[in-house]
Amino acid sequence: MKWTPRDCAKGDMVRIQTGSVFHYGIFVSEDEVIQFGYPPLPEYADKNDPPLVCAVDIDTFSSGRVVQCLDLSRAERKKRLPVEQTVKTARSRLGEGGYNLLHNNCEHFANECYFGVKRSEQEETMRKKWQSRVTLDVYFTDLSKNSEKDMLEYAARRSGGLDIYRDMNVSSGSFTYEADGKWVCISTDKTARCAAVAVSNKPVGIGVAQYGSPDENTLKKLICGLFERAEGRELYRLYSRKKSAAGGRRLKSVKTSKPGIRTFDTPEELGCVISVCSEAEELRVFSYENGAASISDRI
Amino acid sequence: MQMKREEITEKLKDILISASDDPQTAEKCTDDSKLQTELGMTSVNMLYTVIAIEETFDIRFDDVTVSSFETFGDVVDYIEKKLS
Repeated sequence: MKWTPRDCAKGDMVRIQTGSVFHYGIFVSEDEVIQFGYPPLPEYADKNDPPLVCAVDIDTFSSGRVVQCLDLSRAERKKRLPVEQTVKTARSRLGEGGYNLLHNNCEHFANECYFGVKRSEQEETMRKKWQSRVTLDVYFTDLSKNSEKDMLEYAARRSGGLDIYRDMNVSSGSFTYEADGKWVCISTDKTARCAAVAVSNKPVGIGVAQYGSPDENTLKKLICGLFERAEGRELYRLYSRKKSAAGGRRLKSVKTSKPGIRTFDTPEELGCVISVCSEAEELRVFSYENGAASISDRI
Repeated sequence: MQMKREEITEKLKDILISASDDPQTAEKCTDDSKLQTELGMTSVNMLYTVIAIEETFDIRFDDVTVSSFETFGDVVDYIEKKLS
């Protein structure tokens, strides 16, 4: 389907852009454009009336914006209703209410008159966007104040909607859970001071390293491949990155140069560094304290 | 579904963060924050937010338009009422 600014013909589906969405109607004549809801003009907005199906002239409909008409391909034309039926349907609904932003909006109305099918592409696009988003929440806590178990339970419930002990019967490590076709992936890790958990709807790995533990020489032997060199804090950052990407492999062989791993330090008093390996672009970081979490940082 | 107001608020904040391009959204969210002028909600964001709320809380919005809610607190009130 293609939208073009041209002279409108009787029975055309028309639209104008209002901000980042479109307002739709059915063109009958210059004096009659039938729409569900009102044009984006102050006199309508100020009234605050419940939206109804109404007819206005083309200038009122356009509200000073460019009117686009729907152009169909040969195949698409077979799907549209005859012009007279489109007009008849639109007119028969004048005065009708029951507007709903999601389920019964101006686009649903126009499509129903034009194709005989009630649908909104704007709604479908947004729904797909919501359902396909990759989520990633990371929680960390000071183990002298909260237990890893409590944090894990809170994180799984808050970000995954899961009762971790009832639904999954697990308490640490990396695991996944599927409910109603939706995946919840959880990864946990801890040091002596700090514990962290990542919750995502895609595979995720988390690694936590504590500065100075184990000592640098031991750590180098444990994680550094033949050509890897790192010293001081950078070595511990590398350690956490390798742990997050390890997936059960030997740390020496884990490459951390691939995209998707993000590393951040915990508050100074915890002396830990956390890395998360995931597909998510957005990462929210929460610190967990006294049975609740607050957003502590954004990477 | 029984849900405390605080829990609704937290989940709604998550949704608005996901809908918004502004990284400061979480800090700006209070009951009195104006959706359009303070939280930068556009009509597209509003559509996304309404879908997200319906799916997250398993409720259905009735008679909702872009201008149905003025503040963050109005949305929390609406969800709370729907869930009660």
